[in-house]
Parts: sequence; structure tokens; C-alpha cells
Amino acid sequence: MVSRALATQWFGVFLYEDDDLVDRELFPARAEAIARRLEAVATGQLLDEERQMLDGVEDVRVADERLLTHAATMEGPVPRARQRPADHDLDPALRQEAAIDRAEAAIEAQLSAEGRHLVQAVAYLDETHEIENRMIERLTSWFRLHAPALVDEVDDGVELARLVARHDDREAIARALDVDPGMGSALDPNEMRALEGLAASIVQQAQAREPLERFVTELAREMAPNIAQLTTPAIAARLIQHAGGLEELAKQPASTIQMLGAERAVFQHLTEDAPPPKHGVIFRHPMIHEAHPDDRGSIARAMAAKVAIAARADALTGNDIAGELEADLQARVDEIQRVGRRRAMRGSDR
Amino acid sequence: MSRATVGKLAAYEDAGGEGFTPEGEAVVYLGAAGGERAAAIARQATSVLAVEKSPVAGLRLVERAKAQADLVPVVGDARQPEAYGPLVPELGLLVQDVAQPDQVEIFLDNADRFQPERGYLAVKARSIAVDRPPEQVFDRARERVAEEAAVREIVSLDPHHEDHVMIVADFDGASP
Repeated sequence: MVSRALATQWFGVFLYEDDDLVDRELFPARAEAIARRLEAVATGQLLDEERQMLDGVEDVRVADERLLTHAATMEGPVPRARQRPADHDLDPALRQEAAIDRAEAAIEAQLSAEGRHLVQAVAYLDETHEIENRMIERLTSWFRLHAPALVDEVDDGVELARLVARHDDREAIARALDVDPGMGSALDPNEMRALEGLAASIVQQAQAREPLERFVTELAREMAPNIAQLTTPAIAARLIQHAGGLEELAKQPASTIQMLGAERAVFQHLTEDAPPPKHGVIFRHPMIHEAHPDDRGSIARAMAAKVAIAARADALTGNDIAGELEADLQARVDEIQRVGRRRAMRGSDR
Repeated sequence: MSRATVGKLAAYEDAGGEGFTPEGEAVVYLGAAGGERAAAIARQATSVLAVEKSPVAGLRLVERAKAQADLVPVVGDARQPEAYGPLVPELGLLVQDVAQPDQVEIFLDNADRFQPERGYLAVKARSIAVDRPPEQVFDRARERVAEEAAVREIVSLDPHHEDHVMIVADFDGASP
């Protein structure tokens, strides 16, 4: 009985019998055609050429699970890469060309897929924040009826929730904090249990946010290292979310990037008689919100200009240019603040 | 991305390893990052297939490949050698530098499929286990590689890469 093996190389499919090449199906000698087949192989599909060749034979050895049809087996060796392109009148450089085509398509698909994940995660992050804040407000005002002194003692809402969830009553919390429990109206046992449930939900929400925040930060840093370094990973994530993806962000002009996240204010400015917004998401950057109010607009404009460049580098080239951009931005911000101080000294309304 | 660090292969040579001689060999480089070292190898080897998982590093790798003949980029996971298998010629050298907990198995899977003559595995102790002493992690890795190949050397990459070793192993090339 003859021993058969089938092997797929980048330029074709080859069938061996007793170690001799007996059949071949070459791929079209064009980079795109080969890249398409490489993609199919990478996603576990059977190529048409492979199917044709497997159809006519039985008991054939293969090296991939992808090729396991009724007639194939993975037992035994396969001459995996015996054929050389030159043996089949092919230019060996086609291999690199096809691989580059395939790699570019894979990068594009992966980056936009990552963007979609980031958009969902950031949206959810905002939602959990909002839910958590509402629950904390409710817990604080409700529990205050019972223990005003304790609520004033703890200024962090999640910390208060943790205490209420963990301890049975006002007195136990006071002992844990080593303070006077103070006065307040009594709680019905069922009411206390409800409060504990609310507190436990807050603690759980806060815990669930941790991995979510880590995911968002890390993904933003990986997808958009330049924007993340120039601003912060959190701001980078939000910019990508508002634009609907990194590629989308890279297509925006700086003036749009400056306003991302302030869409409502933009529309109020356009339809009502409101002043134009100076900044959106990037306002979260300390360079802007810690600046003098008169300088914020100029700094926001300068930062947006650098973010636009960073976004293009992140989306298109992957070059690390954040260091240069940071230095440029810092120089520009220094200039803005110098001018601002001079204006103030001249006695304008600063 | 320009980093002022010495690559794993350079650190291995610097630490007195027998050396890495890709002249005339076909090479697979797993964990090629932006392809700095892979491009340098491609100038000596017959070809280098450079595999990188991160799409951002992949962008740089592809740009490099456009400027360097015989540097063949793959943006994909080294855990799925079947995905890039058709691009791999009869192999001389397998080089791997991936910071993953299952890095030893990734190396052996690729070696099993592509049958290189020799493999260079950069082992990062902290990727495998942060809670065990590096020496113990390296011993385990060496033992595991020794089950499939003949370990030639195990070279510490200190001081360039803390808690890293390079394991160099000969595969007999013949099918098992």
C-alpha cells in the first residue's frame, strides 16, 4: 500500500506518495491571492486547493487539524516544507510580499477589534461610576438619619459602605473607628438589613471596577501608547471611545478632538445662546484643569493639536513620538502661561 | 520604539554564550517585537520569519520588513504555529523571546512542528512564576527542554536582563 502525505506551503498544496511528489496545486502567483490563503489557514479553514486534492485520495497523512477530513490522519511524518519556490518557477520574494499583505490586514483587523472592546469597556466604566455614585448618595443620606456623626467622620463613600456592610450596628462601626457613635434616630431591623444590602452592592461595584479600570488602562496603553503617554491612559481611552475607535480618532482634526466629550455643550452653543466650550475629555488632564481659567482654552487647543498627531502615529505608524510631543507641548504651555502672566501684570481682568 | 536595552541574543553573547551564527540558515524568531534584531539577523540568514503578537509592535515590524529583504513578518500568536506554518521553510534555527507563562511549551510546540536544528529560548522567570525562586524556574525549564532536545548551554542574561536565561538546545532534526 502506498503511503501518502499532503503538505501546504505558502505557494501551493503538494501531495506525496512514498515520499515522491505526485501532485501539486499551485496558488496564483500574486501576493494578494497568497495573503488571502494565509488568512484562511490562520482562521482554520480548508483551502479549495486542499479540498480538491484530499477529495481524490484515501489514507493521507497531514500535519494540521484543519486538514483532518474523513480520509486523513495526523499519524506519521509529513514532508512539511520540501518544495522550493524555484522548483516551481516562482519568485521566492513573493513569500515576503504576501506575508506583509497578510500582516497588514491582521493588524488592521486586530486594532479595530481592540477599539470596539475599549469603547464598550469605557462606556460600562462610566455607567458603573454613575450607578455607584447614586447608591453612595442614597446610603449617605439614609444612614445619616441613624448616625450623622459617623457619616461625617467617613468622607469616602465606598469606605462608609464597607463599614455598614461589615458591622451590625452604629455602635460596632463606632468601635471600629474608635469614635463616639453620636445620636440619630433608630433603625427598624429590616431597614438596617436593607441598608446593609445597599452597602454590600456598593462594595461589590467598587471591587468590580478595579479589573475593568486595569483592562481599560492597559488596553489604551497598548493601542495608543503615544496618546496615553502624552495625556493619560484614561484620557486616551475616553478619546478613543468618543471618536468610536483609534482609526476614527486619527481622522479627526485637532479642533474636534479638543471638543470630544463636550458634545452637549457644542450643541448648546450652536442652538441656544451658550458660550462655546473650551474643552471636552482632555479637560481631565491636570495641565488643563489646574491652569488659570483664562489659559485653559489655549492650553486645550495646544494639547488637542498634539493629541491629533499622537493619534495618527498610534493608528498608522506605531512610531514612538510621545517624548517629542510632550516637550513641544510643554514649551507651548510655558509660552501661553508667560503671556497670560504678562497680561495680568498689565492689569487686564486676570 | 527605541529602548536603550540590549536584546536577549546580544546579552547571551555578551554573557559568554557560544554564540549565535545565523549565516546561511533559515530562522524563525518568535516574539520579534518591532523586528530590530530580526532585521539584523535577516542580513546574514537566508531568511527570518518574525512572529509578533502585538499589532502595535507589528506595525513597526511590517515597516522594517518592507525595507529588509528576507524579513518575513507574521502578526499572530506563537501559540498557533499552524497559522504561519505554510510560510516556514526547512528550518535551521528557532529563536524565542516571548514573555508568557507557557513560554517553554510554546517553544517546544514550534520546535516539534518545524524541526529546527537548534533552538534559542530566552526564559523569563517572572513570566512563568513570580512566587518561585528564579533558579527553580530555570531548572524546571531546562528539564522540560531536555525531554525533547539536547541542551547545549544555559546562560544567565544578567546584568542586561535580570532573572533571564538563554537555553540553547539541539534538536536532532530527524522526524521523531
